Amino acid sequence: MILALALGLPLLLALLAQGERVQRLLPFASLPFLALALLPDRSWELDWLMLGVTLGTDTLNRPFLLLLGSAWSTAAWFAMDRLTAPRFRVFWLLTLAGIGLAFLAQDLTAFYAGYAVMTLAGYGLVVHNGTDAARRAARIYLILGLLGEVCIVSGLFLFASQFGNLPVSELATALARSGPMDAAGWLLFVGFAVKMGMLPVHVWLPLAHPVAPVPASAVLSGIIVKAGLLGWLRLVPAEVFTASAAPFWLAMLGLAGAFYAALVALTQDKPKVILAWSTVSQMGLLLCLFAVSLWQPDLRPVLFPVLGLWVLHHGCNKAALFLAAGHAPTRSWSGRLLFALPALALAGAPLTGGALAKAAAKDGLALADGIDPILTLVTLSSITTSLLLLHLYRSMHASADSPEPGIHPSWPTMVALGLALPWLWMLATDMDPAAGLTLSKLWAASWPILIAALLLLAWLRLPVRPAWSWPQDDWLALLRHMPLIRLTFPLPASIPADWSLQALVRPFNHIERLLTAMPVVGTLLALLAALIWWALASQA
Amino acid sequence: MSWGLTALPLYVVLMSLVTSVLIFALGEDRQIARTVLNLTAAVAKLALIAIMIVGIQAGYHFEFRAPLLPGLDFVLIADRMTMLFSILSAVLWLITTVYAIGYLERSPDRARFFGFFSLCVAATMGVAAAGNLFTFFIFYELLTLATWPLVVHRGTAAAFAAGRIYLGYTLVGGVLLLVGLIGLYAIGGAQDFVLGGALGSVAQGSDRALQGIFLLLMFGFGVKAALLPLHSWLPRAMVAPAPVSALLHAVAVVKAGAFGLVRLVQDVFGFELSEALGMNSVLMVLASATVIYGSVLALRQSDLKRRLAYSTVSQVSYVALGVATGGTLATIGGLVHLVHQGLTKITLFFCAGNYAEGLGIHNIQELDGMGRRMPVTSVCFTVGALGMMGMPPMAGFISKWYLGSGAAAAGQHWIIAVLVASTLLNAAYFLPLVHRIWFRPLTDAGRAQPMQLGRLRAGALVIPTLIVAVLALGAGVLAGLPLSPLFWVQRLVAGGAA
Repeated sequence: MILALALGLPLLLALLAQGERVQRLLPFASLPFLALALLPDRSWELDWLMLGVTLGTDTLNRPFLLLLGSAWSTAAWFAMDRLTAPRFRVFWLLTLAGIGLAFLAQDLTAFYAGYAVMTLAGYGLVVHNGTDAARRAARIYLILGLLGEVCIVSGLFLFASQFGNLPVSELATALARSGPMDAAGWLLFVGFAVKMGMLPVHVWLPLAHPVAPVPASAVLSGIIVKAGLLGWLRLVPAEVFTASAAPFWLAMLGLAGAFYAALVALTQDKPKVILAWSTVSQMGLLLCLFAVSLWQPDLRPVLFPVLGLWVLHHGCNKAALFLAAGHAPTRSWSGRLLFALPALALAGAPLTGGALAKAAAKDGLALADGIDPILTLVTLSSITTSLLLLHLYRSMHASADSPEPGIHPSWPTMVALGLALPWLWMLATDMDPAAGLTLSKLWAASWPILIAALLLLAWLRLPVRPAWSWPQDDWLALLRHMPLIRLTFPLPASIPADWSLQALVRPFNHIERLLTAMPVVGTLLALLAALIWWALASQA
Repeated sequence: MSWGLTALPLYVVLMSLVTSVLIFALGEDRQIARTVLNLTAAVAKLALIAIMIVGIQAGYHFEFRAPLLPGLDFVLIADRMTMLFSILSAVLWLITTVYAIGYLERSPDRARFFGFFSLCVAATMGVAAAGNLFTFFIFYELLTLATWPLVVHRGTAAAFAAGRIYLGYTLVGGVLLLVGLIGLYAIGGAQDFVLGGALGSVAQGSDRALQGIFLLLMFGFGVKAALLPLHSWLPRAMVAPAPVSALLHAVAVVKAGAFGLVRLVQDVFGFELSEALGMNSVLMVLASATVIYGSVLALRQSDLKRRLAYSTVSQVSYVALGVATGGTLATIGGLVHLVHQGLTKITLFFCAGNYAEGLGIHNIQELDGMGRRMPVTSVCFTVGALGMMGMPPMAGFISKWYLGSGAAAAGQHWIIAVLVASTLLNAAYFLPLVHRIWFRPLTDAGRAQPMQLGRLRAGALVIPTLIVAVLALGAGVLAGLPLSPLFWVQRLVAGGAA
């Protein structure tokens, strides 16, 4: 019942989205997921649906559902009052249905189906503003998204050739029987990495997240990226990676992303762009944690709740900062407070969700062997994150446009969620939040922020400051100037005359014209007949 | 020869044949009588097929056999494969008839059109029910001839040019088929269709002859199935009216070719023998090349119907690809795509017809902002386009899932790359259209263009479109239900021919 409500409501409302009344119902569409997250574990088998769908709640998807039920609904509250286009409603609700299905799915095809619907419907959110920048960003989002998706589906084909449409819970045992399937593991890893914004396939993210309308940015950056993480956790088999050196290098890649993205963010001046790069940075840290769990699978029971904590903390706080970008947070004391709380949380200030997440992550990582350099780097990443957030405040102060006066109630709600949910999650999963309250831990959480503040002060005191700039689209900027692989292209429907693919296709055109000339038809078929006759005759 | 219930397959064929004759006899002016006759016959045929389904489920064996010459029988049967194809045809035919009545309202020569239309149905039913290659050949050629007047229906110079090319390809294809058929009789191998083939006994020592015959038959069917390099007639035949294109692509001609390839691999040679002769690899490579080539060319087309036509070239080869790959999973994928492609493509062609009739849209550039002016058609078009891409939960995804996992199971991993390339190409030529429809603003021309359809006619066009779109979506979403195409095909592949 609750399941039918959770998946049916967004679809039903999407069907009815032309009606203005649906607008008032937007925040309620995602609430059933909150109920699912709070109810005990259950599973449903729907044999009639597609290739037989299994849905359910378990310890793995609970934080994701919790985030969906709370943060998505809060963002929808903002959308309800500020975005009234019927088309936006349709894609908002379809994206919700897709991500809900992916979060609940317990078998291969259902997960993929939800994930694909989410990715495709997300296009409608990104492109919504209809500006040139939005169209370009949406196109790049879609291209990389589809590339990721074909990687995923190829990996699933390999699984399915052996096991059929398997329940994900049986994947590990099935693989233990069949032997590891390396190609499938890597394809799935890379496919989901696109959504997670892993280097170097992150380029779509800093383009797409900022151009979307505020609530869409909030869910894209706060919630939808997390679907990639769930895909990793559910479908990427650790067995493929455990014996190799790959997880170590993946962890390094994640950390590289964490630092690199934070540094690039410092060169940007639009608040939402800075936030998007911050997401790339934070997802790099998540990749690092995930890679360690691949490396030492016996740590999975410890690391998975930590990842859940991280999902909740980052999801709510990032969404809160995006909502802040829809206001003018530097203009009033309440605005400054509502900006500072999630920002401090992301920086990992003491007592916030960020501090809890980082402390728990470090405790988990400390259990692994030979991991000291990673631990140090995770600590140092707090400095760059803090710098990024200070820079964000300055950029919000500088950007003149304040779209709406006043504070929409969804913003403080989201901030409250970001503060409360991590604590509640720790209590619910028997992690010990009190372990983070020792003096040394508080100090460990504080000094990176202090260093960042000092660095910023020193920077502002410099008599001459070099002007840094870095393209918002990162390495795609290189391609922009290459005539052969122009990624700025409009997709083929509106190919300009000089579009390079056209040149590739032209020879086919000649062949095609040739094939419709009557004498060619006759000759071709006569030749074919002669050839076959020869084959027959030479046998006699 | 028995004329009782066992001869049901014959009655199904005759039903359409008699309708055709009656329509010709009624003449041009008796429109109401013609419409009633058309629809009654289509519904009655569905009823007969429903009876046969029940019979087959109960283990009843339908067969009509009439000896023409010693050793040369005219055989109509109803195995599961027959039913797969004839249900698809019968259902889509009923819907298309409604659509065609709306589409051709007030245009001349409707008696001729519907007469040949019914003749086409009869031929397609014959192709579906044929019990041996000889009977298959008769109906296959009848189909060629009955379709030609439909292709050139408009009577323009372009239509006749396209008709000539159509005949040029298909008739020569028929000759290849005939030579292959005679060859098969010459080495004593022409027997009834049996799953697994009936050539095991003659296989010894005549490999080259069998290979030659396989190639002849393959290219004979390949012409209609639009296999590379024999596909060029198909995009040219786009001059036909929309309902004809829809049928050509979804059920009748192209599918008859694909169905022939299925019969060839499964029931004439049998998969084992095809594989031993190395012929299934030939078909596999050819089909893969066609999948890619058709998609690349579809990218190039700015005419909506031509883009859809090249897409058909590409998509129909999935069927041959699946059957040639072999193994349970890939075979399921190929066969189920016979139905899924039909449902999806007919949706797209109906939509193209609606755009053309409603607002005079033929070029994809004119689609800008059409989601606002023709919302129902646009939703259906989107469903069809996503289905072609193989997006879950559309029907195309189910086909692709089985094809992809079947390819891996058969050890042919390169086919996954073909499927991936095809998916991306499909996205590249369909998604821009969807983008235009929903995200571009209406052009001034698009806003000014008056709607050319009255309410009744719009209903006759839009309702069938909606129905096939729902079927195309339902075949994917509800694939797990009994009596879904997937369920039927799984039984077919698992349970043998009976």
